[in-house]
Amino acid sequence: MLFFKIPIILCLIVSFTFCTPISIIVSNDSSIDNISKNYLKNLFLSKTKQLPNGKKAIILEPNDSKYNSAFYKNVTGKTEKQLNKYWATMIFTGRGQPAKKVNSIMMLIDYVKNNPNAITYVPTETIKNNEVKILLNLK
Amino acid sequence: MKHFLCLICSFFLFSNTAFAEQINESLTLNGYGNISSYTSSNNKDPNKEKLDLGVGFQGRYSITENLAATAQMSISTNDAFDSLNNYDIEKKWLYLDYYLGADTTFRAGLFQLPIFQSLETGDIGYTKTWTDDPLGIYGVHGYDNFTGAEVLKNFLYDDKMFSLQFSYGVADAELGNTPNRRIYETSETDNLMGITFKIIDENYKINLGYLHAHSDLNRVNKNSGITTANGKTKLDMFALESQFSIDDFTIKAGVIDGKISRVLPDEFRYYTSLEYNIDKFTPYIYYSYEKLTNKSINPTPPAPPIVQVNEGKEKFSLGLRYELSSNSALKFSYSNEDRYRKNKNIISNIESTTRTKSDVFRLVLNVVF
Repeated sequence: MLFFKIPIILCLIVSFTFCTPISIIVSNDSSIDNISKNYLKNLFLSKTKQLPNGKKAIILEPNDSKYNSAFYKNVTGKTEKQLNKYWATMIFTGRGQPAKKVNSIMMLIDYVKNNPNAITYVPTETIKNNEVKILLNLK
Repeated sequence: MKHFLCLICSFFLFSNTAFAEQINESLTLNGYGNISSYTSSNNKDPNKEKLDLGVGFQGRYSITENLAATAQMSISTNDAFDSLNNYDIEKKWLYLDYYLGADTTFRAGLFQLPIFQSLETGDIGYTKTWTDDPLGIYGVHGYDNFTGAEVLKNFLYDDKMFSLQFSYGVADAELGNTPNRRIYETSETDNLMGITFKIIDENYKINLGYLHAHSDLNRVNKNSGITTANGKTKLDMFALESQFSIDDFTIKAGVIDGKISRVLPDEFRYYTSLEYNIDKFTPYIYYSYEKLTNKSINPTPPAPPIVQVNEGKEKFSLGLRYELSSNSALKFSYSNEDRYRKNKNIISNIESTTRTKSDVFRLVLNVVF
């Protein structure tokens, strides 16, 4: 029986990982209340450095490849390979830089809380009460 | 050096490192590597069989929120079959950039020439589908980089990104300085100007560029050390490049037209390519044409010129790119290259042509890290 259970459990873990809802967050002090997926794509692909309110964005992301791939696939439609090809051109010609990676989700949320120009994405379940402003939920 | 390059190559082959290594909050390190083997059927080709190795490293340090310093250098061998000790170290980019606000950046330092994509990303094979660039544009007036300043402005309109780049600077180069030549030329440019305009949308990219430069040419005698002025020359270069994607098909095309007032040849080049992506495989085909129109030769001045030499190259290439991992690609291609050289006597109108056809096979490994 265990022989059948293991693959089922593994499938559940995998599907849970890939279906974890992701939220785009900013500080409660930010003047931005919402953001379109297209604007988000332009920000995270370094095509613009400006937030919708005109301020220079501090773009951050978790240092966790499963959230990174889920986010970029959803927002940009690009796979990791396509992104690497894109970033190679952007970085080596000095046209743009990828988002800065932060090792812990808690540190990421804390940073965003205290910086009105910071923007990031985190798993929705990691956000407590109304500590930050959610601009968009991705599923 | 030999051991260092071997170590780097092994690292490329067996690693699957994440792209863009963030050392700390301020410093990011990146790199690229290429291993490329070339085999030609042309027995007269001095590089009939060749193995090139190259690595590049880039560091970017954020000094403040808006100010950053970037340095990129490359190390490459001319032919690793010959000797791994024969290598070149080259500064590629070295600049400070300052974000002025409203998606405008000012930067000053050393840059690769703008206006054409392959000029900017020359060594970074991973960014390209092909084993080799359809057009052999590695620079103008003998140089591929310049020292100066640039302003880059991006703006979004209707979900399309528009990008404008102004470049201004100086550059110099040595032309034909080989060990067996007693005399070579130098080219010094003190007013290189470039404008590049890009439109980037989900399914297409258009790149338009213009470059203008005045150069002083000097002739240097290696034995006596005497330098004599050899006049001035003016360059105007236009480039247009585009890319369209329909489902898994991508069509690319580019044209570059360079007019040089004297001594160096005028250039006209274009290419078109079609590629189709099937998961990890991307087969492609391209065609390119290059024509160099040399200035008429005047053997007994002040008599009028009597010989006009034109050179050209047509190339068909069939190839395949395979994604080995998320940051490395293996590529193979077969190309048929047809080079010609036409000597035309302007007075008698008699023309003689020599042609060289060759089949070329390339196997390339490209990595970014």
